[in-house]
Amino acid sequence: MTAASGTDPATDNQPIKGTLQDQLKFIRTTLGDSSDLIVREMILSTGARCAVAYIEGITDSLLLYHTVISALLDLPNADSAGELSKLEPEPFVRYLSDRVLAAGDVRPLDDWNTLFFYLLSGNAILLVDGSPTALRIGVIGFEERAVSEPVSQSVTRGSMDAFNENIETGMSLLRRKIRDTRLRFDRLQVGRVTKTALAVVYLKGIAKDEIVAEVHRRLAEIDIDGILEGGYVEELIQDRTYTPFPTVFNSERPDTIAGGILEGKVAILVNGTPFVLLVPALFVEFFQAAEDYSQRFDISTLIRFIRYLSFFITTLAPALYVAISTFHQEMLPTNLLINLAAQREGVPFPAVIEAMAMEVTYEILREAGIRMPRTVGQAVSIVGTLVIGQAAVQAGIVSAAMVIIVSITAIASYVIPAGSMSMSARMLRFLFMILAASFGLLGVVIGLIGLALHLSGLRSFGVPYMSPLSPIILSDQKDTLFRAPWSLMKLRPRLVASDNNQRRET
Amino acid sequence: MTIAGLLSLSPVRLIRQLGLLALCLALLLSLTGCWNRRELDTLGIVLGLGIDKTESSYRVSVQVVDPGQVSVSRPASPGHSPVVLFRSEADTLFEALRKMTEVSPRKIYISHIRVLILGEALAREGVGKALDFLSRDSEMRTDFFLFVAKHATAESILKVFTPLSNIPAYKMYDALLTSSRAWAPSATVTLDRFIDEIVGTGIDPVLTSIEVVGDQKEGENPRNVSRISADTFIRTNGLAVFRKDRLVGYLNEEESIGYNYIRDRVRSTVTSIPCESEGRIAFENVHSKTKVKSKLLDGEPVIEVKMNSQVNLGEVLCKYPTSVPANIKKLERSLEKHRIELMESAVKRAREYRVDIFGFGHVFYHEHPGYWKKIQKDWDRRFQTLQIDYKADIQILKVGTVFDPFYKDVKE
Repeated sequence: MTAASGTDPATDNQPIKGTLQDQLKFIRTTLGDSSDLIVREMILSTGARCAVAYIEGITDSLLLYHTVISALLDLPNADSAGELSKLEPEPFVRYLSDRVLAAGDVRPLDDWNTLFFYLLSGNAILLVDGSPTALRIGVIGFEERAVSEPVSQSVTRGSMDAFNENIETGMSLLRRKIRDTRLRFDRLQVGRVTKTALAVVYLKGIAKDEIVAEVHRRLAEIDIDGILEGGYVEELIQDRTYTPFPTVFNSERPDTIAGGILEGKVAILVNGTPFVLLVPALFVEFFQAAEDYSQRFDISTLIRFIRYLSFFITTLAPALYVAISTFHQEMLPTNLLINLAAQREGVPFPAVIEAMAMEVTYEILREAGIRMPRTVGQAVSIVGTLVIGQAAVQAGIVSAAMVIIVSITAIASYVIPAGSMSMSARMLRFLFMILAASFGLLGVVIGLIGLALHLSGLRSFGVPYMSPLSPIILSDQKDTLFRAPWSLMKLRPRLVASDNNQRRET
Repeated sequence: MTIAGLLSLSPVRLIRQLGLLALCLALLLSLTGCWNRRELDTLGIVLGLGIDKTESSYRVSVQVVDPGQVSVSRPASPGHSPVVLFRSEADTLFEALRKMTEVSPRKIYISHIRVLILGEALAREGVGKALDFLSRDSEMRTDFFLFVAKHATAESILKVFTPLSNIPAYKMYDALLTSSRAWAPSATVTLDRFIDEIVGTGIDPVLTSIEVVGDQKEGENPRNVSRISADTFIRTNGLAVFRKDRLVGYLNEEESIGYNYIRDRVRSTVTSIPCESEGRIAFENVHSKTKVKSKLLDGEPVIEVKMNSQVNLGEVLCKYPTSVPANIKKLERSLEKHRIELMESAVKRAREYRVDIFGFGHVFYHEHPGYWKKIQKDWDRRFQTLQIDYKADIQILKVGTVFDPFYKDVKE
């Protein structure tokens, strides 16, 4: 693990020195006599004075007692410890580390910066009087959420575990799926104040070295006080800030992330969030669900087409309705036209206002549904469906056709497996509605052309966002629009994986 | 150019780029073909359009649907008609249609007309000029059917309440479509095809004629459809024959079917032929294919009409033993004869009107262009004496679920 990156102004990277009392005093004053700081001072049987400092609540105190405190207090007493008591403080510390402490992770440290970082991460710090070297003992232990079912990306078939907030748990979940010597975890910290732990995970030799290096370079460039969620990192490392489309993939499913790593992608675990980032991200990936690979390939292919269709519906349905019903009535079959005209009898607003109002209403309902306390959920859904759906139609404020359009739009947005992509679609929907209302189908088509140009120009960590569709890579089509049987997918994605791209011996 | 791209530019270039963008958007405005935003509830959707001729001007009548009356969610108010008829007179159709806004609260929107009815008087005078507006308008759908009002004005046809379908224009459209598919003495002529045949070389057009049967006044009353048996109704009645754009006469039902056989436009129909003794036998046509070819025999034009058809035996009204294969063969031969008679009757009538509605001249124009060039001016006369060789080849495929008529052996 690398040393703390940001320099704490209070400690200023000074080496540890002075007597034990000075050191303890410095720790106490630096932390402002914080009430969760526990300092246990001891006089060992050799006569040496030492102290164990730790933060209550993030340290496993039982483990600390067994591995450190009881081990220290059980040192051989003075007569047999004659040799020991003659040791200088520094060799004595090494002796403790080598022979006495029964913990797995014991390492020396000699500057304040590092000391505070580990102390505040939940390590116990052992200071020995007269020694400029301290020991940190990994006895981290705190309450954490158990590994549970994924909330945002559920499947009917497939593994049911999800990452939790703890980065070590996340790493372990990945390690359990990929037991290969080439799996690498590069740990680092980001955030001047939060010093959030990050792990860059990839398969050495399968991931492209340049991409791994680029991830490291961009992560190293992050300069921010706090990283509380993966979204911070995502925004700071993506290729282009101003795009409605996500260019970094995220998932809380270990199988999805492991699948990506196997393709040669690089995962970034962020401590404190169950959502793991995956780069480079391609447009088509946001339409692929973990289940695609556990179901038969033909079914998966069909379902993928439904997802693409849903993306178009959720982006374009209201816009097309507005465009056709106010500009191009001659395109509709006559019966449908009369039906729609009958529904619009007495509706006081133009179709575009009607559409906007209903879409905004739905977005409000949706946002309320996410934020509101669960206990009032039912009340809100009754108000939503009855008042806004039925009553508005009966009162003649909106036409029934519009309610159908808004509903299908809303439902279709949830078919896209990646939430971040369906957000983009929601945003674009309004843009397209404005275009449709002012220019009809012409506006919609111009919007689509603009969108295609924008998408083709996007890159994610140097890989074209629309690949393997644009530029077209024939060998990668097996897992793009279609999902070919595994027996045919012999190669890893061309632009993502390194030259070592054989999935299997042929 | 995206927002991100714009933000990364220097101010001068940014202004230039924004200017270009604005220019492009402004240019877009000039590219707009059909360019008027109109809400559905401001449109008077016309389903039936009728054109008549007065002494000096056109009289246009439109059947506009009242969407409130055909709405599924709100029941129609009783006593209100689902359609409204507006009419106006002007020198041109375009003016007449716009003039209708004097009486109509909504803009008359004719893209969706299902039927176009031409009054007989107009048709006899020539319909060409009246159709210019419809063929020129960029917003027309071209899937509507044309009719000629037989012995009537277009307006009177559009005024009649029709049973089963509350929008009369729909009724006419559907009735024509069904009858042309199942009965065959009618032609589903769209505007494009009609104009094609008007301007086409060596061919003249036909339209289906439509007429009001029963009392006109009674038909204009909603009571007409409130009874089980409507007294007055609209029905298609054979074909109307045109010389170029002028109506010259009508074909009866048989001649109309004969015409459709020659033009290879029969989907399905039922024909009957007499038995050897009394009674008749009816056949359903399941497939028929007619090929018209031209040739020159010693410089004389000859048309070959070759028909291949499969039929099912549908009804036997005599004691004819249909289980005997030889009898079936005999029936096939007499049916072939009957078909040829049908076609001959159509040709005979067309000769009376002196118009080549079958496009025989067109076949020569295609297959013997040199010959056609020479006799083009003289074609009308040659059509009268043209040698036409008919060949029919008919197979009876099925005789149904019984062999012989069940009453064959019944002792009386």
